[in-house]
Amino acid sequence: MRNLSILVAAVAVLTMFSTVGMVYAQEEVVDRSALAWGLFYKMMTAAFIVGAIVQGILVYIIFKFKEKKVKARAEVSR
Amino acid sequence: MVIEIAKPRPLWQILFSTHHTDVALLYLITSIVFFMLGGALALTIRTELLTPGTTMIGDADLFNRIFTVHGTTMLFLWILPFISGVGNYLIPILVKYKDMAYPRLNAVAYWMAVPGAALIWLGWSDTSWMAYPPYSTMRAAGPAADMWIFGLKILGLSSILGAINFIVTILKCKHPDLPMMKTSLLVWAILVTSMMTLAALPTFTAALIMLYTDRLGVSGFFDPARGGDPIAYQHLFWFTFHPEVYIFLLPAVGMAYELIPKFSRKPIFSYGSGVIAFLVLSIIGFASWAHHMLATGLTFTEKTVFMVGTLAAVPMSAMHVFNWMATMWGGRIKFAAPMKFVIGGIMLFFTSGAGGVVNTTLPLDFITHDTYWVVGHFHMMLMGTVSFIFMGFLYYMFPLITGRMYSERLANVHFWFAFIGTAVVFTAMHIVGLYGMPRRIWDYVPDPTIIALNQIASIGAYLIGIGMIAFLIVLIRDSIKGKPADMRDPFGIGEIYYDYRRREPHH
Repeated sequence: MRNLSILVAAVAVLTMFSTVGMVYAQEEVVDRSALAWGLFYKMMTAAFIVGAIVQGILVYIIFKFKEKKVKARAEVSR
Repeated sequence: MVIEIAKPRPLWQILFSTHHTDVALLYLITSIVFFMLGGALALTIRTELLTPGTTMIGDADLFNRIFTVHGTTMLFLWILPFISGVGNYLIPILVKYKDMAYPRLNAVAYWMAVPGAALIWLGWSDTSWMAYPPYSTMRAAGPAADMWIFGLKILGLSSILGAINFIVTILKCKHPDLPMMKTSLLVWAILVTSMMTLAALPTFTAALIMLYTDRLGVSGFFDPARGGDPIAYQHLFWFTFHPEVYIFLLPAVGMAYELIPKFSRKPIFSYGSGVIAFLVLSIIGFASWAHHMLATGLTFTEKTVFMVGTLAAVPMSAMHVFNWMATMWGGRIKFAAPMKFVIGGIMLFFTSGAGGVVNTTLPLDFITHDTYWVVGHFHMMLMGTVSFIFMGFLYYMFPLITGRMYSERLANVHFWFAFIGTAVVFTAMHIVGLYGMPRRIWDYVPDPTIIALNQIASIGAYLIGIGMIAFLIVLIRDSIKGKPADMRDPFGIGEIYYDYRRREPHH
């Protein structure tokens, strides 16, 4: 219950901050193309980081657990 | 006996058989033949795009026909028949039944695919595999486009018959002592995709009838001048073909579940999450069709719904990937050809999945829509993941089909050429798409960067071609002259192989 209260409070504070930010934001000319490309680069950065982690773990598994490196154990074979 | 080639029989016995392994063999051979033919067309396309201007084909109309037949062949004559072939071989074995539920219907479904394929290859349509109106209704040359429509109708009916057979075999003919939650995840994959086929395909069947009557001029479903709407076709088409993406993918996922635990010598990390991910993906597959149409003037709300529906597939796909990795973790992995292809497929699966997230994000879709990025994305999925796992699974089934072992060395050559080639060609396509190169074009702007990227892509395609030559040599030579396999455990992984000594006679 305590954790839930903290979570609700955190979401409320974040919502307030973003709302206040939007209300007092300066008017500006929006370059949609620049926004889209900016979003593209952000997403690709995120994708590359996540991809590097997942594929890195996969490569690690390939080398760590390949047959030659792991001795045969009776309990692993079904 | 399940082994087909070790004890040769007259060809007519196989051709007119209704036994599940015979029908499966016909499906598999047909799919491999068309994979090679479709691949030859792909190499022709890449050769034409090696330089701007005329390189090889010399005619935009012929180029359109080539990529239409290439796309149709790879989807309907390589991937779908291969799934049917593997399903026919293994589903009765995995559910411990003597055959498919309806053996005659099974043979009919295969033999319907043959005229369907003939119509597509003899017609040589130029509509692209999507056949969007108004081009397909008003300009596309007949009888090629009409033959394409009839070819796909027959193939669709064949898929529906096959799907009914799989569903009945799994749900009604499964051994009573085998609970559904103890069956292989490949059985779940085939069950889920068969159900999706039944739900999705009738829409496209209706769309094809409407397309044909529009072409005849007796209706105007997709003609604005007669009160119709060409966008309606896209809705009908993608309502079938976005689920169809999962119909292509999920059997490959099921095959990966069949291979990874065996070659890691460990049980599946979480069987239940695999089943849940299959079921949820089969529903989500129907909630995202209009992400192919974000640039067609949908309302913001519609676009948002379909964007969110598409992104909902990400956690489920991730569940499969993490399940595979957790299964491998702590195992003793044998990297025979089937496992190599599956791991290669998983690595490329992540790349194509990341591209898919970009495609469905509203503002980004407008950057990538109808560019070569999209071509790179779906090829990375269909060649890099689906076809890789299929080829790996074919190596795994090789002893079951032939009673012989394939050459691991040549399979290695096949894998590395195909893996490097696939990564090169489709990554280059992604990048050239960001430089603005549109898809489905015969010629392109002679910009040095675009030329260089196209040449890199073509080199990648040639590498795949070399790998495929090795694949063909393995399949033909080792089917005839390969070493006899130890049928209890042909891969030396300490796992019981499929029940190859079934006693049901061929019929």
